[in-house]
Amino acid sequence: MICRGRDTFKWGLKKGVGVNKDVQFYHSFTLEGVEYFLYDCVYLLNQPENYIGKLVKMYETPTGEKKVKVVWYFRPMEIREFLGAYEPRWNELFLASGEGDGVTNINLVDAIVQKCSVICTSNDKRNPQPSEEELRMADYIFSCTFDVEKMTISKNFTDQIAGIRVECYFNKTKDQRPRHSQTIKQHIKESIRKPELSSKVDGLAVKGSKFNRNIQVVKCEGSKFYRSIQVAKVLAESKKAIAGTHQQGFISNGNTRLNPKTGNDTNAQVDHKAKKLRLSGDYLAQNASNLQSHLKKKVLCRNKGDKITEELSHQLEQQKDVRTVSKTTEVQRRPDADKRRWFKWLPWEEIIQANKEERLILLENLDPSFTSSEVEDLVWHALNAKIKARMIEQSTFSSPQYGKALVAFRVKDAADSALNELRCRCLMLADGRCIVGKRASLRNPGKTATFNGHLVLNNKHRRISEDMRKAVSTSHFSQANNLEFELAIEWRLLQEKSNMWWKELHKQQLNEINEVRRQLQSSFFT
Amino acid sequence: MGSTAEAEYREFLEKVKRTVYIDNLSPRVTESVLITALSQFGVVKSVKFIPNYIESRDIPQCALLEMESQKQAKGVILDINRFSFMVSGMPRPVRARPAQAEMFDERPTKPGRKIHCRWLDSNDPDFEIGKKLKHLTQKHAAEASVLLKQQLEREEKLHRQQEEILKANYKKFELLNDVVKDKTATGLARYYNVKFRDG
Repeated sequence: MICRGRDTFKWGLKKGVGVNKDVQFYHSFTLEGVEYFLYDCVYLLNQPENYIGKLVKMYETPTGEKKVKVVWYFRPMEIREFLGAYEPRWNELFLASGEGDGVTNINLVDAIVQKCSVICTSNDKRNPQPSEEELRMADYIFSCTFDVEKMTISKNFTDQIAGIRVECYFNKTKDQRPRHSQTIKQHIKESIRKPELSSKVDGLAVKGSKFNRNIQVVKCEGSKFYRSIQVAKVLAESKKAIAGTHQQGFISNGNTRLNPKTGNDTNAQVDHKAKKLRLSGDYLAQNASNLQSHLKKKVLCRNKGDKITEELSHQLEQQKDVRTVSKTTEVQRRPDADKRRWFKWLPWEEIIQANKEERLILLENLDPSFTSSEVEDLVWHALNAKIKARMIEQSTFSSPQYGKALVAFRVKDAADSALNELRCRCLMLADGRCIVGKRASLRNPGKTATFNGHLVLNNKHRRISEDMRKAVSTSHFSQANNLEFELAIEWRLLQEKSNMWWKELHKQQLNEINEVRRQLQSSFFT
Repeated sequence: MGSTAEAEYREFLEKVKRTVYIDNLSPRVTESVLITALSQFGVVKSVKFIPNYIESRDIPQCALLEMESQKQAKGVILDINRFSFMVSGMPRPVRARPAQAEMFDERPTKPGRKIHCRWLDSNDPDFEIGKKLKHLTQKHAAEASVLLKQQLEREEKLHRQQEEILKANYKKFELLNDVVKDKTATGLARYYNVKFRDG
């Protein structure tokens, strides 16, 4: 379950400002309903194959440009001249390293296509080893770096790459992965038990604003899941702020020594201290009431956090059961339904001419009354992929039972995995349709078709057939006193027969479909 | 938003009503040919050929013609189907029928419609049925493909037959023509004492 917000772009938590104070850095952002965190791997738009990189910085410039700094992964193809005897695995990448061009780039967030899962298989001690499951789910793996200066592949990782600690390039440890529902649970619990304590006094200054923002975050609309991530952060931060308040209290009392253990105090103790603070004069009383309101908010957050934890564990249990009771979902509008400005799809004619067949899938057994936009929603919802769809129009030979649509994915991998899903599982619609996906084989567009039924008169006969020739070049009704009339009647006869046999076929097929659909047990199918 | 979407959808349905679907068109037929051909029935507002992306065989073209009114569209369909109407060639006539919403590639989504879907995994009781349905879809597509192949073969056969008939007819024509041209006919007429006039 991934939160699908309606906003196209939203910044997440702030990280800090840059050297010149104009640039605001962030920990995360949400693009088209998907939340991207620092050190996530993404596909970046490129032809013919998207680039893959790791987000190491995300920031907004004073002019409002939203940018990301990316450290690149090279595909073996890109560095094939330097591979030497090294035989890369089919899904292996190489992490850029060293100094110079080609290690990093600054890109607009608009260039991001989607997330990409890249797992590090290096035996380096600093690298948390991936589980089998993770390896299986990974889009790509890497175990080597590629030095852009020396043009060499190496199994050794330097301490820093592009100024970022090498640990950030290795696999994330469990608690670094807040998006995973199981770890969120832990995350929340941990943040309740042992809050991080910011020992920096300047945390005090931003305390107020932080709290405001926290409350906003809690209020903000989103899926439970999304909120729970935020709440986890809120919890961590509220502890920080409380610790800060304590420090403030000590400072006011003339005690300049910071007690790093304050953060571990229980609520009651905090309350107790708050009472104590109230005794020490007007200024402090004011502080204390602030503190109390903070505490209230904190308790609120905590209650919410607990509730969400419960819900999450409930959900997790449900997910275990999901194998036997499939869940019905209503297809939601995809977040970018109305504005797709940031990714320019080519018109269909060009997609087809570009012969990107490996990215095209033909979906069959759709409801013929679906529109292209509804198919896009459906694929977004069921397969979690952004695509462009084109319903194939009903025409002379199409079955009224079967709607078909061409679907273009952005990357071949996404098309492959969608095909695989559709093959291994069954995507059912409420009317008992089971969607079939197959690789689209397109008609050669340049082919000029021959046409049976239009007789060409050769030169020898021109003389006598002058009238007929004229008739050919214009549109006309056939006259009864003409040979053409009789020939036309034969064609109409064939057309009538054709009508009948298609009708018969479709009737028969409908009967067969209904026969099978009747066997469906679940009440979901109407 | 709801009301504008509904209005858009209603407008689209109106457009469908005044549109005629024409098939059995030669690949040579262009938009301008169709407009000229159909202008004798009324005002053609737009022409849209339905592209063939996925059928690898040569199938006749088909097109949507939007007329000015539903009345005109009905008239077109009636006339074309009552007589044999030829466009850009003979003797295979074109066919016409009322257009359906599903024939348009760019059409608005029906307002308020909800789509529900569900994934079935291998231990769902309905999984096997789902697989059967998938199989059926493929089987039916194959059946349709075979039928189409047979139909195209029948068409080709008819085409050849007619070519023969036409050739034979031309031969007769030419024979008669030559007989007239080299005065054999006039000679014979004089011999049998019957009246004969050239032309």
